[in-house]
Amino acid sequence: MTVQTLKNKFNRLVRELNNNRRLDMGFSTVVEAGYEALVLAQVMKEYSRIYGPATKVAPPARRTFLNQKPGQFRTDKAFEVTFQKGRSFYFAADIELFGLYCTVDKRPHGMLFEADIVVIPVENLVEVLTTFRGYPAPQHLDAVYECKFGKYNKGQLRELLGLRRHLTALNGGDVATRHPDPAALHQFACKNARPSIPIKMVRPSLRKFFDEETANLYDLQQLALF
Amino acid sequence: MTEQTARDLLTYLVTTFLNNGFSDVGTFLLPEYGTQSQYEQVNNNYQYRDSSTALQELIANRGTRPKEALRRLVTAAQQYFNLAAAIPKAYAGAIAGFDSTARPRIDPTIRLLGRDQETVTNVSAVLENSQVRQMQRLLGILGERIGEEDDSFLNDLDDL
Repeated sequence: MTVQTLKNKFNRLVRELNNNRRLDMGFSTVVEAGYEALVLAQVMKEYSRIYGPATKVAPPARRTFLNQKPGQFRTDKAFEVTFQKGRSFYFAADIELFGLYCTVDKRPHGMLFEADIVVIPVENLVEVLTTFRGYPAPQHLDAVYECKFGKYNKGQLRELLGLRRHLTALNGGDVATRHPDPAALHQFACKNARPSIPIKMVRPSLRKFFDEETANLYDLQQLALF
Repeated sequence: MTEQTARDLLTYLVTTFLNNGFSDVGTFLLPEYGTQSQYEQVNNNYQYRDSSTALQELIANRGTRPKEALRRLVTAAQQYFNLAAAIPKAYAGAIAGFDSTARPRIDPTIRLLGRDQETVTNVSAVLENSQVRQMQRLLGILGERIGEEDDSFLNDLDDL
């Protein structure tokens, strides 16, 4: 083989990886989708650490929960899990969320922000599906996750800060070093956000993302999950 | 591998990754903080480097240390493709812990619903397909043979 043959071989491989006939997306986007699925499963495991082992699990009736196009929450595209301590949650992916104003107005209003993974307590289901037409508002959320397998750019900090602003107000300004809290999701307690919704950035491995004070002030946490 | 070949391949691979939607490989060139506490000690000084910039910087370094730059690129690409290929099994393993209480049983295959809300794509199959395995093998051979003085590694790529 010559160097040129090797280049041709590599070029062909790269094109074939992107040439998925059933998807109008490249390989890297498929990877991001797959990683979302893995993170959702890891989030369910984290909930079982806090709420005890799962006692009842209803998988998505459509056999999938990943959506190429984000949109409404639907029970047939979510896991419903009941844990030993009595709490039940829906775990869903690619959901559009209403913002903070809905906590005041108690009705669907304003723009929608997408989140990769959302966790919704089962007791909020009826209001989400009826009054809010499948688009959860902050008062319906238990936790929100953004997943990035490979993408890394400066805009991601702004993206996460934007999601925080969309979902919660800030109460006070505690930037003190967080000590691991075993009772909190991933041991990082929300101190300043109201409502107190954890927002996590998840990657296969940690990358320099934001400074400790910013993370503490906005209750943001970067996690390495795989 | 000769320095001339390393320089040539480095430029070609970086350009191909950047032009074909694989700039995410560059993320694995960025500094990694192994623990949460190490990460938390990093101050934000706005010296951000994104995935694409990290790849482009490798080309800038190809003049003086092409083999070292190529080694870094191959290692990053191996991390990217090895982790991507491992996602389906990791998902199946994570979800298996919930299967004993699930009704019906949990499908361990990752599927993606298309924009038309009907087309369902088998993500697991895409991530485990033969092209991914070929890419892993090609990168593996490159990684192992960069340190050699000649280009004999090319002979071992004939059957790929």
